[in-house]
Amino acid sequence: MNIKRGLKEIYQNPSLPSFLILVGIITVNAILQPTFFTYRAFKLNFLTFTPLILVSIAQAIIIIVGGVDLSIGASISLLTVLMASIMKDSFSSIILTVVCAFGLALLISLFNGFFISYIEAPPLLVTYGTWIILFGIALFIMPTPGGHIPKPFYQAYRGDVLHIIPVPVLILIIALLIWFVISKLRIYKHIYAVGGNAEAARASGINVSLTKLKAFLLSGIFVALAAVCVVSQTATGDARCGLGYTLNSVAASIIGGISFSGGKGSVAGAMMGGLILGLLVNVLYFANITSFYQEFMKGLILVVSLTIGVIPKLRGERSTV
Amino acid sequence: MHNAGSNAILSKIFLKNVLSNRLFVAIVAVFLLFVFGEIIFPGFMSFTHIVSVLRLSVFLGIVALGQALVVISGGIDLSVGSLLSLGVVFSAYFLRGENINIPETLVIVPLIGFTIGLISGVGISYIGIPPLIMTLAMASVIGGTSLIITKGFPTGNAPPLLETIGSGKIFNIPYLILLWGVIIAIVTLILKRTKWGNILYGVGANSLTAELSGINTKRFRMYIYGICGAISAFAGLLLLSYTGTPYLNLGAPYIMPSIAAVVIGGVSLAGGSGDYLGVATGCIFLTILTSILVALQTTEAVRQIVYGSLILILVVAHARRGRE
Amino acid sequence: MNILEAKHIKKTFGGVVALTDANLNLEEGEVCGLVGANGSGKTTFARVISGLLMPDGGDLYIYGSKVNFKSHLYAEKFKMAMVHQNLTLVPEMTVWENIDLGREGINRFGFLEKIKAIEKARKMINDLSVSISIYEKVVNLSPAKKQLVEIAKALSKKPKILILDESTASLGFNQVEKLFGIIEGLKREGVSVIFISHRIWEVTKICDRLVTLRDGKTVGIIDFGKQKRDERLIIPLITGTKDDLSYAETKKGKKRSLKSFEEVDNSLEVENIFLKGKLKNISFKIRKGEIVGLGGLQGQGQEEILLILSGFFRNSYGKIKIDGKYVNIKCTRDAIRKGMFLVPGDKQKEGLFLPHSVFANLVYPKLSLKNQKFILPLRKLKKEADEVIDIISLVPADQNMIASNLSGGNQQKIVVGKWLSLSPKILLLNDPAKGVDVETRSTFYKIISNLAQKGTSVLLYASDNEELISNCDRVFIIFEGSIVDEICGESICEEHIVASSFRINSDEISEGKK
Repeated sequence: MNIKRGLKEIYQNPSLPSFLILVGIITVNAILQPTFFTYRAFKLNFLTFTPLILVSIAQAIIIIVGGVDLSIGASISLLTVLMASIMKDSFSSIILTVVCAFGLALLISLFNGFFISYIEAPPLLVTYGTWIILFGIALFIMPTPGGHIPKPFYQAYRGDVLHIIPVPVLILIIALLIWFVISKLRIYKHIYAVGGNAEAARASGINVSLTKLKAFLLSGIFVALAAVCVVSQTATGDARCGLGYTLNSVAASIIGGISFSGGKGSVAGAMMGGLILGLLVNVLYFANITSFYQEFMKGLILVVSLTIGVIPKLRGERSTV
Repeated sequence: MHNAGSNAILSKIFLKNVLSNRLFVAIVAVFLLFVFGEIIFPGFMSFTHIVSVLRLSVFLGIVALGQALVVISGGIDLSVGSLLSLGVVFSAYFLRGENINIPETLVIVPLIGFTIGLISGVGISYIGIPPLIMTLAMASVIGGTSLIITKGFPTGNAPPLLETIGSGKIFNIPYLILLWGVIIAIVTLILKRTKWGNILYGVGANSLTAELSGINTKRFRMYIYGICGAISAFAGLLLLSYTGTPYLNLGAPYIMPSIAAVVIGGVSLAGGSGDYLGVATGCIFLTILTSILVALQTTEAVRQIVYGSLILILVVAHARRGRE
Repeated sequence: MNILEAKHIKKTFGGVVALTDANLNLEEGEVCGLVGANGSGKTTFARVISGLLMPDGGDLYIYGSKVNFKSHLYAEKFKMAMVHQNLTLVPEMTVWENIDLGREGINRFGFLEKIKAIEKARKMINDLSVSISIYEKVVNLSPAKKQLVEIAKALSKKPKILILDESTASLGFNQVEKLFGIIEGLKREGVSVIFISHRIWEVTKICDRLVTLRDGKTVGIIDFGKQKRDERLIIPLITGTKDDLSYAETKKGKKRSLKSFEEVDNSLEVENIFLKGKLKNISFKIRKGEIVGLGGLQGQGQEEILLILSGFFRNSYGKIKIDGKYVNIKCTRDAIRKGMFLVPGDKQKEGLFLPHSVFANLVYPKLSLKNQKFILPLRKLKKEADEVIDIISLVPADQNMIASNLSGGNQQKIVVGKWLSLSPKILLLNDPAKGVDVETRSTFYKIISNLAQKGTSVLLYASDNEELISNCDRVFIIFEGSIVDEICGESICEEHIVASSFRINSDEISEGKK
């Protein structure tokens, strides 16, 4: 009985299609790039992918609770610009700056959360407004790329732990651990409940507004983490660096099986989605497909995974009147 | 005995009714903005300047038309920008600078837009993919296609006749504005007085009721996306008539403003209500705002902050009113 | 001993007065019914009592102590649980997760206590003796099972006071009986129940006392310990008139025997409709002007028959003949063009455009007609709308009113009104009076019977047998997708319908009731 139930759960798991796509794309990548399984390639990949994967987690949390966050990319821009502006070479400065970055990220989350949970304005528009404002502030602070990141800081990002785990991977493992802990808490279930049926959640005694706010705060943690990675990777501050992250994070979440209606899908799926998008760029590069096709392929994969994701729904019950 | 009180109540109700008329508020806002511009820059409200601002609004106005139709039907279209870009590129390609190619291009370009829009429509209406995501994905696909086809270098250019329409005037009023005026009138007529327009409002307000009343809502909504695609591609053709030569990605700055204009203009994002005149006013408002900010020589940074704050203010006002 | 006393409760929403003087006493271990027409304030009253709403006036005493409305958690404190009309279940979560929702236990680390929750849920479901897997996602359950999970959720709080607001709405006859068994069990344990239902027979069966609300005011309290369990006592309290007689009259007036239809042509003939998993070989004929009912337990396929005929399923799955000629119904437009219209059950979700005007709502079905001009002839259409408003006696008779501002009764009139000017040949009614108050219901069915007298055939599905009894000339009983009985004329009565619904000989039922 338990085995049967277990198998059924795996079959119905919304992340299954993305897992299969991931396996597929790893295979293709490995074929095209003989050095794929070397440590060097592994590390290089994760140096690039980690920010996107973290951002996908952040976006997934928001989509699960029933919203969407278009300001994530601009947050990354602002946070990196901030860090590059105030970080000095001293150890205490580095710590302080990172703390400030997390603080700012949480502030942005509060800002978004306030409009969405308490004023009950549509998340699409609110986060669009926030996106523009944050982008403006980032441009204001740093109109052209610049700033300073101390060498030990970004060297740390490119380092290894115990010689077999790249630091970015460690960061991802830490992120996963954080989420694992969260999944055992009440807030985890409440986020899914609010996303699944906010009215039901409210009638069951859950504070819907507070839950949404907490979801944004949680999301902010991962955004801050991603910003730290980005700024280490590029070693500069650039107000325009965040532009691609927003749509990519949405795409990654969809590919990862997160349902836009809310309450369905897992963060693990979103992570796989982010990984898939990252590997896609690799595949296109190694297949000698020009960068022109990148956008096209990304859109195509999105449409394909959407269709795959929706087909089980089609086979289900026709909506009766 | 109750006179004073009832007078106060009457004027309160009157005020409420007037203010709740979105169109009225939008027109007043436009007027105020012009006045504000005049205070800062004498000459802002001069005939020539008003005219040039209006002309600039036309492009957003056409894109917002397609967006408005989709939103009224209950959806949203994030691919309008890439469709506009595609329209620019394809128009230039088919025109190749020759007047003789105009009729053919006038048919082909919107047709291409229509077909691509239909694809989005099929995904949204028949497969059940949420509009936000489907059109987002299509935007990537379309943008990528543009890139692939042109290999980064779009070819062709607008022929003289088209350029005249794009930049020329009659009685000091640009052809584009006249064209837009005609479009506004026709669209308003179609939306309010025809069978088709009323069906649209019903489909957007409650697609189930519409279906039970005999409308094939799936097919209808699919066609709306097709129409929006055609309109966006056509907007690209118009834009080309203004710029003369094609550039890539001209459409990107129009996506979000088209949504903003639609919201400012009183169209509910949930669907089923709103009209084009309000949307057109919204487009003018946004264009004036941008031109004031540019004229103030504000940096892009400041412009972004102002623009974003405006969106948030609108959003809050909209949410507040929705609650009542 | 009074567990709960609600005294002179008042509540106003914006401009609408919901409660003016609502009162209710609840004693330990008793079931107190709460009845009233739609808009009488039943649900509002229940929500005030349970703490979901703050009243504008009045007092509530529980166990003798006055309740402070400002702290809405008093429901928890007094162990009061409410089962709602609109389900409070999260579709993608499992049954046990839903039962545990909002009251998750946490251990000292703050982690969720999953095992305890699962055990508790398992026990709850077993106590209800229903076959539901607690690991099943709620979205996969039937409406009746969902309601039972909802009840389990309320019961798992081990309440001393239970409020059931229209909990029987989606339950079939035998499930209601089972629920009553559970309620009897709760009574023995000293739990007190407030039972709200539109079904008079349910209320007369299970309640010890009955409170009647009308226009937000308690107008009558019937004690079944002292008075007979007779429906006729209740109706006048609900409607406020001595209307019980006319109610009985309508029962008699409607019975037209099969003989009176002998010379009349068939307007609708249905042959061999088959829907996998739902309908097996449905065939029947309806004559012009006949009102035919579809009865039986819920979910036996009655709705599906109507939906297929309306074209909503895009396939007729069988043969349909209208006025003797075979027709192809492949979409709703086909059915409409042939004069066959569907009046849906959920008026707000399926029958109206809430943000639009009465005129827009009335005009809409005409838009898909073949001869409809592209530019609408507004003057003619407005005139037609005025005529319809007159027929359905819409008050206020204003075309420009926005549908969402209309009362429930008026909304229901619009839902049927929009078909009136299209000369309906065949009217399909999908439980149109579900959850509608007695007065509106009788106005509604007057319109229907007028149409029938003018020659419109009516196919009526009603979940409340009363409607079938009062209005139909013939009733088909559907059981598991097949027509198992046809009851005609005078024989249409509660016992016969119920018996056939269960495929029991009607004599047995009469025996059982004695």
